[in-house]
Amino acid sequence: MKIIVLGGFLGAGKTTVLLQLAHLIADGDTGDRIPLVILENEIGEVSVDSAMLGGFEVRELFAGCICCTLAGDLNSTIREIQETCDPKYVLVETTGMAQPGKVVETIGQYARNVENIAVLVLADAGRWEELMGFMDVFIEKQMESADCILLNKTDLVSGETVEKIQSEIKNMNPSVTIYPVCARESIEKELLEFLGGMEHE
Amino acid sequence: MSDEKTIHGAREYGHPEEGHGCNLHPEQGYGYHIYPEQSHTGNLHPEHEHRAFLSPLPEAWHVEVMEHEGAAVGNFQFAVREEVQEAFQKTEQFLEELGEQIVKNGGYIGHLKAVAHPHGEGMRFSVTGGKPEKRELKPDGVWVEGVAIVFHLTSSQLKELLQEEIQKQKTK
Repeated sequence: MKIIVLGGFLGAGKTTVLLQLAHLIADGDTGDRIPLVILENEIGEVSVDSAMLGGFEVRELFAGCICCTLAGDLNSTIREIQETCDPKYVLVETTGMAQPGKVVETIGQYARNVENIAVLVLADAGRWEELMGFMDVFIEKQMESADCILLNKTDLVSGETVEKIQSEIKNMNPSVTIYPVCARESIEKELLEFLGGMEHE
Repeated sequence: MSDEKTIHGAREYGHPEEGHGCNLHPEQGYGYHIYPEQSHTGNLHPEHEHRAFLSPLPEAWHVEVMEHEGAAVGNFQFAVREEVQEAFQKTEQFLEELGEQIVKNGGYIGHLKAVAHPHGEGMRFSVTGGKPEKRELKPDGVWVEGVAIVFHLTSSQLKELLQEEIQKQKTK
């Protein structure tokens, strides 16, 4: 079972990317194993995003964050997924207030038979400057934990700004690969395939 | 034997496997949760109360707030009793105005998101021999559920704004 943790600040485009990844993994899969289970975490009591995940096997954790208050529930849910479905992939969508690094730590500590955990973090180009004004430490930690970063919403800013943001992210996480994207217009299949196969360092 | 229940005049239809009277679990499609203090349809589950899809759209609305990592988080639920497209527009307008009020009061919008479901839409079937008789059930509005995650406001400030905006929407 491979696990991909999707992180990134509120409204950065995690669900949009999750849906594209989920379709890439599930559509046309003819194997015996369930291709994927989506684990959706919402800080609120209502799962607004789950309304868009029809057709997929979904587990939901509400009213808290799996990197802290719901870490125990994260473990038991991963265990339950493994015991009942044992899918090829588990896509974990964190809340925008989560630190993906802590999620990986928790899974790595307690989950059994996980082939690989990778962290994909979304950065919001449109709100980057604003967020760095008061959430800089938080955003930096999110970027540091990433194996790969999608710099999303690049259509909202100039090419120059995209380059500036990339260089700032590189200062936070020198080894990370950054892909500028506009996720709502769909991500290239090759990139999605790469994301599906990436490994945690 | 039917597992129908009549509670305060509203009929609630059961989970076949449990036979206790409603159709509101998420995995079964329609339905939503109502908070015990605001509901008047009876208490079918010990841990949370449900309301039937076929019962009228409730007038009750709900706002609950909490704080998490410096953010104020507000959960809200309310009904818009209008034709569906009109109700969707009113929901959109509610979110836009809520956003404006948050900013006007010095808040920073982390994320406002909501989902609006048409309520009561479906098809009723009746058979007394021969072909089933069908009757279309028209929605009586939409049920809105959402969350507001906001910075630079306290949870009580956010609660007040949410309550004001929902009230405003209700009187339009």
